[in-house]
Amino acid sequence: MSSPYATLPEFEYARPSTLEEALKLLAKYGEEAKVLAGGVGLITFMLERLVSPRIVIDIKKIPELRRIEYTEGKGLVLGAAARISEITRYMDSNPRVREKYRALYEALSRIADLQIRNRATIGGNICEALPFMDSYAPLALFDAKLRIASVEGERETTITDFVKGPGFLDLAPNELLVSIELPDPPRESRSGFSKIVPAIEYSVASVAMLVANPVDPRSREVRIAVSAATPAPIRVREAEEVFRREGDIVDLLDAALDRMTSAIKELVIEDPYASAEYRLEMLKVQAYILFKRLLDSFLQERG
Amino acid sequence: MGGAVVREYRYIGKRIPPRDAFDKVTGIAPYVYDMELPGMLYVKLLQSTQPHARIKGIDYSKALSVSGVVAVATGRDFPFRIGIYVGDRDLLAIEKALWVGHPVAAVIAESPRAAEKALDLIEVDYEPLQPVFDPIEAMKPGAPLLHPDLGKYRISPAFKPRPGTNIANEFRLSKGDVDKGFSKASVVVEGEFSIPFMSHVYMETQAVIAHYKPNGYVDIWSSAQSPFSARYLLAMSLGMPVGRIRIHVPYVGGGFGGKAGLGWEPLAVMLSKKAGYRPVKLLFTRSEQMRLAPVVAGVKAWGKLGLDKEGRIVAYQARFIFDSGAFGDYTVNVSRTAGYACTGSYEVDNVECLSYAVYTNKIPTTALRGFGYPENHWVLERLIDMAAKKLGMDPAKVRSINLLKPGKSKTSTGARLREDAGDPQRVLEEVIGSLGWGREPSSTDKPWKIRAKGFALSVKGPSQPPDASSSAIIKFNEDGSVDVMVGTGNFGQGTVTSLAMIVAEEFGIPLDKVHVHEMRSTNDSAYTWQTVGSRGLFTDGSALLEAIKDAKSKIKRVASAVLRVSEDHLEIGDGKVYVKGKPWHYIPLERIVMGYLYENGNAIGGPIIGAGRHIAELNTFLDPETGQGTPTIFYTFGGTGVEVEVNVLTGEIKVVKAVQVFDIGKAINPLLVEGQMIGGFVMGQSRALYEELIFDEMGSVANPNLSFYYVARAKDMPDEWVLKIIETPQSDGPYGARGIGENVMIAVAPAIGNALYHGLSVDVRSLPLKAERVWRAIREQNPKLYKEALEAVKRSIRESYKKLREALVVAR
Ligand SMILES: Cc1cc2nc3c(=O)[nH]c(=O)nc-3n(C[C@H](O)[C@H](O)[C@H](O)COP(=O)(O)OP(=O)(O)OC[C@H]3O[C@@H](n4cnc5c(N)ncnc54)[C@H](O)[C@@H]3O)c2cc1C
Repeated sequence: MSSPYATLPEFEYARPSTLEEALKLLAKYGEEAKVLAGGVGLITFMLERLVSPRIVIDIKKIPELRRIEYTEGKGLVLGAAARISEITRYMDSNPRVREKYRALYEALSRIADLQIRNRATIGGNICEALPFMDSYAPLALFDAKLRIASVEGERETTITDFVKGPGFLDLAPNELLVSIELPDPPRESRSGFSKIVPAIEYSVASVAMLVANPVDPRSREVRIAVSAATPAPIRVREAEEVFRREGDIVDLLDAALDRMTSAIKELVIEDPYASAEYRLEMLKVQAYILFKRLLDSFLQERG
Repeated sequence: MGGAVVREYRYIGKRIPPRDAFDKVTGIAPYVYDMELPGMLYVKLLQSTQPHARIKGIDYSKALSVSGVVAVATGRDFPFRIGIYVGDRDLLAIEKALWVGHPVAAVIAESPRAAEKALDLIEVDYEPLQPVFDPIEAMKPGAPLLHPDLGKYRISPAFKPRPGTNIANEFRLSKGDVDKGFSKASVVVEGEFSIPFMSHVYMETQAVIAHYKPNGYVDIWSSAQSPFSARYLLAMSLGMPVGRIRIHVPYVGGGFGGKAGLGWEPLAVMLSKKAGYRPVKLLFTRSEQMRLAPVVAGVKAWGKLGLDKEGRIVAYQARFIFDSGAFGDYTVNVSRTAGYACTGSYEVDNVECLSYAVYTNKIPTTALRGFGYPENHWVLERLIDMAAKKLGMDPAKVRSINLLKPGKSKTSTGARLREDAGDPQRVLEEVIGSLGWGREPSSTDKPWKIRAKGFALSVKGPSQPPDASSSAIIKFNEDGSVDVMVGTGNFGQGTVTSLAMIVAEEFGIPLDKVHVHEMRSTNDSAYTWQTVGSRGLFTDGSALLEAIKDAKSKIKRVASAVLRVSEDHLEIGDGKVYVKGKPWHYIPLERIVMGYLYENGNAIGGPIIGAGRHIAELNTFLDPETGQGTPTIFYTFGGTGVEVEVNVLTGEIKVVKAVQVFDIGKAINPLLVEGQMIGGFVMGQSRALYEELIFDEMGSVANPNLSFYYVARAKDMPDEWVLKIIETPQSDGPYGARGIGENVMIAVAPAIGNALYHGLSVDVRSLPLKAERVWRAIREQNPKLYKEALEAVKRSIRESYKKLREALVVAR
């Protein structure tokens, strides 16, 4: 993430004002085009000569890509070019929405610093395709639908299907991520996000968790998603299923987190910044602490 | 001068904001990085992709054909070596590339873009050689040699390289008889310690503009700490007359030792010549800075300490292996200093300390704030706590028993400590008092977070040649204001603010009538050897006081004629020269400093200029066999205490309280001293907890950026500060002052290490104390603690659940 070069490679620049125009440009240039949203990632990649696009297509001025909208019953819709700080600000002025999507809010509001959050977009964060992108675990948690468009039409996918691994997306050169839709989470649910950032800029193990109706075995729901420790985000359904068994939620927690560990063990990243062993254990430790925090948050609101 | 007399001061001792603050906050401060000259060209360096290779050929024909490219240079153009202590550096790789990142060619072009484009078109034909990355491997016979010609390099007298090996310097301190000492020990502790390579991470990366002019004069603008020694070394290396070189230094965006000695000036000068005598600019991106400019050596150390049953240190032995990377030029002196000052603040009769600087195929290294002391303190201050525990004695008591006694004790180098060197016992008392050592740390509301306390002491003196000198010039202006010309640098310490305060104090003039120009040049500033070693205020301040005295006596000579009293009966203060006892007989300074004009038009005197100098007194070379002698002009004693909060489950450490205590003789400006104490602590904390250059299997820096090389930020600062300044004046320091710039960071790492040791029974001897390392140590050394913490979390989950269920029942 840093470069011996001080100048960018030469490129052409286009700033379409409609989605249609942008898709046409993408269709025309394909592999030779790169989409620019906030540019926080792209400019660095270009400085490092990791990419040298012939044309840079700036999507910031396309109004429909800047949307941030919550509709009761339908959920939250985020345009791909909505900035991180715009999203958190929207949530701050709509506390009910913020609490519904608390895990996403916690993740986004702790990305980098304010300057970067003012530029970086949610779509850029998703499409940067590095394991430690903070939007991943919460988007997996809330069953987010990603809308992808090209001149040929539109399709819908999920974050776990879309992000395949470091630098690897299920995205054709002529396609654009248009929006992210987060359906309403279960009523009266609580969610949160936790990451470990040990002496680097990015997380080495992130957990997002959601709990609904914890004391009612029939209606309760627990969701767990992880990222940063694994090459791509994972919704850990094996662990979630444990909570459908009989018994008190607290009696199932150990078994669920053991399932989580065994389900993802083989996938965990090992690098100079954190061992696989540490990452795996940190997922578990954070899951316990997060679970406690969520239980407490049910209590707090009841006074 | 001298601080023995208690005086009421107008400026000295007052909390006055640094002079450069306005310029920096408003963005008008000039830096070389931002400077442009007419006709200037831009340089870009091609980095080696091989850790150790013979360069068979470099084809830059394609590069030359890029429009805007003026010239390409390679090592062949500059077949000579340069340096300050061991002249082992090349300008561009000569025959061999020695690390991944080693500059092998330089493109000079009309624009950075053209230079970078051309860079990609240069082809280098390498013949790979066996590399060596580990300093211990590199010391073994038969290891691949980086510098087969080491015996032919120019070596400064204090250093002993071993030609035919990778040892750039070997130093031995020997005093008493360690075997005999250990035989009297009740407890002996020993251990291996390590410190990683680090980057200085000054804000402004290296930047230099050089203009070799057709008339043989050279002008250089450099982000340098030490323009005078850079000029001298440059002249020696290039065989040029010193006086033809001018180095201009504007504001410098941080240095921390990394911009001391000789920097990139020689390369820039030669490239300017090569480009047809046009000015050239060389500056580094952060990545270049961290892959090709000198960083800070990694250290592998070993220490062994023996205490008798009373807690007296009976013997100490240590070995430091500094991994100097491909060039050891400055690191040889860092390693030597770590060796000769190995016994820290304590009196030890039987000592043997060996230190080495060893070449490896990694990025070269240089000085860093602290200069060998953080390294030797990381070993000694940890061993003392380990030995104390083994003996069942309070580590504060062990320290107290062994502390150097000014006027009585002999230091590691056998020099008797001057009687006004400070009050180490009081430092210790203040540290443990402020820390509440002996009282349990406060508990936290999270059962998996534990608080712990630790402390360490530190000492630091400048490591300089025995004849290192400084000077100062002051000259008056028509309005009675003063221009101060000093050589000492201005890269964040605030020394110039304190120097201005001294001038204002001595003449009794308003502070805003004292001017220190931000642009220093070797031809119009007074000489100073270097701005390093915490010496600036002590040496240049002393020279300044002499210059003030000189100017005062010149003023008095004129005033004596005008006021008709002898010079002895005149006093200068309040911006006046006046008769002692009859202050109403006076002349305002502005009426005399440019010459005094009588009513009839006669005039006497003339513009007043004062000059002063300082040179180390009674320092000696160290004995080449035993390391004995007098190496420093002062030692500053200090100590650091910490209370940390450790997340037992994640290994994360948060410093909640920092205690900093230093006996600096006199705080000329306590605000700036506290700035050093805070900044130094955070830097020490950053080195202790986070900073580490990571190398891949090619010995290449894998994290040459600030995303993966983490430096402490505002959010990492301790919650609570206790800053204590002790003032035991040293008679030959300005107003009694000693240096403070480096000591402030030395004890931080051992204090944190000791806190883990006492509070968690976890002993970590490798820096940095990164979360995973601490987590692993807890799991291995104190698994019960980890288990209990996890159980505590689970228990609290059950409690929360119980409450929640009860609340729901009530709600229904
Ligand atoms: C100092 C620093 C600290 C950081 N810290 C964090 C952190 O703590 N947590 C974290 O998650 N991230 C962090 N990041 C990464 C940062 O969040 C991302 O770089 C940013 O979110 C990218 O968004 P952008 O809008 O700037 O994307 P851009 O740079 O514009 O684009 C990024 C990539 O996505 C592609 N792209 C963008 N939009 C679309 C689209 N709609 N459809 C298809 N492709 C698209 C681009 O072509 C490019 O390849 C940090 C970055 C920096 C520099």
